[in-house]
Amino acid sequence: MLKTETITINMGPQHPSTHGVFRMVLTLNGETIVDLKPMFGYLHRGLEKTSESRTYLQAVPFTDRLDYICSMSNNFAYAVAVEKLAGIEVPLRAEYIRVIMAELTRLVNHMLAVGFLFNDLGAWYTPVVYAFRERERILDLFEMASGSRMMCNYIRPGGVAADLPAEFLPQLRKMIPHLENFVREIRFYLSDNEIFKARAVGVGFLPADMAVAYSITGPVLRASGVKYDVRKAEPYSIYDQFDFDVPTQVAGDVYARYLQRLDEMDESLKILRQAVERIPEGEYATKVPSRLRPPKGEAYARIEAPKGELGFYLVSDGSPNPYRWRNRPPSLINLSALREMCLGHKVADVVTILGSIDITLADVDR
Amino acid sequence: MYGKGIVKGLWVTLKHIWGTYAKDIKRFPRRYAPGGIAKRTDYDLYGLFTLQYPEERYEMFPRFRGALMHLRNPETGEPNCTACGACERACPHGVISLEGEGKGKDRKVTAYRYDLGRCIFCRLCVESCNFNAIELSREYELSRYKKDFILELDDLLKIGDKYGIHKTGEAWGVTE
Repeated sequence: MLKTETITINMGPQHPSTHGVFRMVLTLNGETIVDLKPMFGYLHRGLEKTSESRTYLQAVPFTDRLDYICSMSNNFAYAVAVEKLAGIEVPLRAEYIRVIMAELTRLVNHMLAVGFLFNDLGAWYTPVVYAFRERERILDLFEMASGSRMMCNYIRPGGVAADLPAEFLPQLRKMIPHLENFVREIRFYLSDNEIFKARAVGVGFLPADMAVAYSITGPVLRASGVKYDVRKAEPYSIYDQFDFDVPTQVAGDVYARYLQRLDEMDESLKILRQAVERIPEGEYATKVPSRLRPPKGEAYARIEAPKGELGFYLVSDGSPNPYRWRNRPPSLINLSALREMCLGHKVADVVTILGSIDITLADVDR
Repeated sequence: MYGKGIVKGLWVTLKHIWGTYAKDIKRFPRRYAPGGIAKRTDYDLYGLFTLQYPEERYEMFPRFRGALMHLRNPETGEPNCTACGACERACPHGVISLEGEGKGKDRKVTAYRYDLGRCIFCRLCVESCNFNAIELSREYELSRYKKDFILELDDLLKIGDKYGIHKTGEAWGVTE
């Protein structure tokens, strides 16, 4: 019998596959992982505390910087929370614009998630570049509407910052078939890839009960077979008026999470098609004072962000600044199950599993 | 069985490489002609294409949020700013500081400091302005050789003169 000793090594914080500054303390028995401890906080900027000394409107640009890949969703969640707190009504056109932006953001996020999963697996940058090509076109739409590619600051309490420019909707209508084609292309070229399947099937298994116990949300939860989506469970905005499904997978491994993201992209495109058809004319925002003073009270609003349930908890004491500004980031909470997924696997699989959870470190550390 | 996968993958790559060239040859006047980059999101453009950056630039969208600029009154040539301080209060980062003199309608701006290095280009200052005094320009090459990131009123007016607009929010469909 060969006697082996466990060793402890650091993976990160500067590591090409950790999607940011993130450190994992691995205890290894040979190549097998015995224990894993995620260490984060390298990107902590104190956004919650900073926002408490700003007005409600001034905190909108900060929400862009929580999860910089899907800034529109963050704006959306924050706007819904402030509206709930202050009792603001939103015009119908603004709601449609918000849904369009949120679903485009979901597409952007899942493109990157799928692309970088392959990047982590060693298909160095080929799938990512194809994903980036489509993403860049969506970001051009964002830039056309909001003036910035990533730090959009577009969805505000009360509506959106400005009406859509005239060329936005024709451009989007033209784009949707191409995006559908992109998802088909990814499926066709990558889903049956033998090397990918050998690396992904059965790796990073997360059973449904454990996913619920860790309060995992988003594609990771649905890939484990739990049919839960905030858009259906607690419809916000106008999501109850759209016809779409909540896809789920059975396996709960890396491959299932990959397929789950592709399925969700299809559903997003379905919503986009309906929204583009039905978007009404009208006002794009209700007038909200720049120094908004919501009545005393508290509000928690949550939306289905691309990575999971994104919530904002705001407490008002009647002054222009929030008394408490709390953010429930999907990345941090999905990351908490990393240890359970990794135990018993090899070091190379950690990279894959981390890529399949799809975290943004700015969202984890805030 | 892995050998099969590799060959299949390489075949896909080859097909893609050939496809790009084929499309490029089919539409011979390539989009690498001047003016071909005007529509950057267009799906009808095909072929091999790289933007030769310092010589060629993308046209920024009208709403692009770049560095701040000051606007002039078209008749008098004076800055529109009345030093009311709304932008100073609206800024989430304390980037703007200003001084003014005079009372009521005669109030004028005397000094305006804008810290480019800390600006996050959120456009909240412009939205707070009621006097058509400031707007975000489409300047995006904002790096400096020295640490002179603080722009004074004259620098901001100079950027504004380059664009020649006198009203804020024209591209945004909001004019007051």
